[in-house]
Amino acid sequence: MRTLCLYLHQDAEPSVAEHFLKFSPRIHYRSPGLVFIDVTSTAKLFGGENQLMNAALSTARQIFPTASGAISDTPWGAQALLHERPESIIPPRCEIEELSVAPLSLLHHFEGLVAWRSAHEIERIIDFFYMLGLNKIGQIRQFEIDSFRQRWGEVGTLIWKRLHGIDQQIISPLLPTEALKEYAHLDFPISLLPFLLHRLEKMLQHLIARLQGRGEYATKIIVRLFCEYSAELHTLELQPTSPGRQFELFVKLLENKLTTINLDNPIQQIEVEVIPCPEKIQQLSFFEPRISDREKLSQLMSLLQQSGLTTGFLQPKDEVLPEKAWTLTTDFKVHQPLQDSVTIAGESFQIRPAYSAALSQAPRPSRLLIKPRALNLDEVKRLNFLSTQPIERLEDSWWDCARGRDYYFALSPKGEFVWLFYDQNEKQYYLHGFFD
Amino acid sequence: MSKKALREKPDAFLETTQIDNLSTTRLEELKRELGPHLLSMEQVTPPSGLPTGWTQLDRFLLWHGFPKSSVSLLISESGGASSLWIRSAALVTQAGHWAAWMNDPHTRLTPWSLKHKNVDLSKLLWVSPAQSNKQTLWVMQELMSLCLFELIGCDLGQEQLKEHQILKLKKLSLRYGCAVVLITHAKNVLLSPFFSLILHFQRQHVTIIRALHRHTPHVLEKRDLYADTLPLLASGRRALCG
Repeated sequence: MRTLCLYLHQDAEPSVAEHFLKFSPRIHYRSPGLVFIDVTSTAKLFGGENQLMNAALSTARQIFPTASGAISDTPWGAQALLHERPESIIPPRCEIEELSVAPLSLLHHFEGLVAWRSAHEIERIIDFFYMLGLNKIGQIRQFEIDSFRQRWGEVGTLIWKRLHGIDQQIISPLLPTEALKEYAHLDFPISLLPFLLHRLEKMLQHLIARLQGRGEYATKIIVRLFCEYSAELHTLELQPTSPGRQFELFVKLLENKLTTINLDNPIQQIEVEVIPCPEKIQQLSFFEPRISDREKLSQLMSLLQQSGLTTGFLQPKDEVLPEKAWTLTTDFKVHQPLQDSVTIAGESFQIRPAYSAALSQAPRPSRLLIKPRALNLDEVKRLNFLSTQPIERLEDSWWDCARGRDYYFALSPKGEFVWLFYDQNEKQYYLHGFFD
Repeated sequence: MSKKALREKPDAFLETTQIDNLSTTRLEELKRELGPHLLSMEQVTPPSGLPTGWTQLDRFLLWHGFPKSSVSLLISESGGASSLWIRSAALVTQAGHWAAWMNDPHTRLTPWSLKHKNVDLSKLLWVSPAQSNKQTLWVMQELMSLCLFELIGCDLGQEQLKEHQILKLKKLSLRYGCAVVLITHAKNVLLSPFFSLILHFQRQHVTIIRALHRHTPHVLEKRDLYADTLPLLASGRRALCG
């Protein structure tokens, strides 16, 4: 078995192991900050052990900048090597020889997946051999297993077995079951936005790394900020238009939301929760850019939506009334024009005419008023109508509440080319748009 | 050569080869003399722009359209500004590039009208009106920073931007190489020197108030702008629907 041992240089939550799931499914985390990864079958996918170690280190260093690693045959061998020669690799089946020249104090790190019961116990063993004048690991291998067992019992046997490469430690597959939640209690409550943002960024980074390891996307991120006084709570919901795990996007969304919060009551506790969903796997062409235009747009739409703005693509719709003849979509679909349908059965055929198909060709103003504006008599008199007869008559739902609109073109006193209609029910002219 | 012959063919005494030699030497001399002062082709290329499709205007402007990496202002006193922007957007989107439009609070662009004017709606992003000038600027910044849009249009309605806000937009457009076109319906407009192009849409004419390296004000007839509306009217399609 080939094991990569990573040392994060600080204690972390066991869920930190999820960051490295992309390197192998067999991962074990042991406090303080040691991650053991079985890379026997996955190293070749990354172009070799060296490349895999570099990739794993760069992942680890995004959150733990001083992280180091080493690869060897066994978990304890990798851990010992990590402390002796960080970022090095012992070739397969050379572990015993390579480590035999290492100082005896390295026995402290011959732990692997399970830590020594007591560091003091190992210290006594090391002291004993020093008294005998032995100071290299290779020198104590000459003793029999019985000598170790009689003097130090179970620990002695374990050390002997590890010195001879007999002990087996198997790394089991890691099943991510922990909820995607991060919690932080701040000893010094924060009332300044940059500090709060910095703290939240770290938490987000950790959660997104976990999502990446799990192969999941975030549909929503809920941030709860507990204030110091009056049990006040701010709840922020970050929801992109499409699920994703782009760190930059979520930070932007968060930054935007945070600016709306009053931080007079300092924040003492923070909780960040991610609601995940499976990621969509897409085979990209090698010649396509990694971030497509659509992805960029999707990020932008999420950002604008978060700020209370609506955005998307204008999609024409087959409706009679102009104000209803469009919709806003995030995914544009090509409009299929209405056409008459013909059904042929035997020697007979049936034509189903598409009513209002001609509407798609009818002239429409470039700008439509959001709500038609009623014109008073003076305003109507000042308009210069281009025709005495209406250009177009639109009637919608005549069986229900037909208004009967007669549309005209006219020039306003300012010279604007306007579109207006006469409502037959109300006997009233309305301004509806501009050929601007 | 006789005097008579010389009168009939005055240049005939100079052989062609002699002329060639003379011109080559003269050219060489000129090159030696002025060579260090000559500009490369790239240096004399006019700054890039996005054509509006209005030939007279494009021909007049140095950029042959809306200037890229700059901010333009269209003052719509009696209409026509949106149509001009839509024309340009049609050319941009038809070329497979992206355009964005930010609405004003009272009116919105009509998709059917855009479709009639050949705008590829799948390449036009529509953004709802912002709540304040500050938010408008933020949206514009976000739009530009994507490095995706060639043309961004923003209808300010009756609002106006301040001098420092225009300067900020100019800096951003320069950084991201995007053509920013602002449309205003306000009466008293701030004619900031930070606008590279200012067009005033009046009843009969469009006045070019400001344009780089061009003698301004320059007046163009507006009627061309509505030329595409007339065929639609002439087709006589009157829909009686229900």
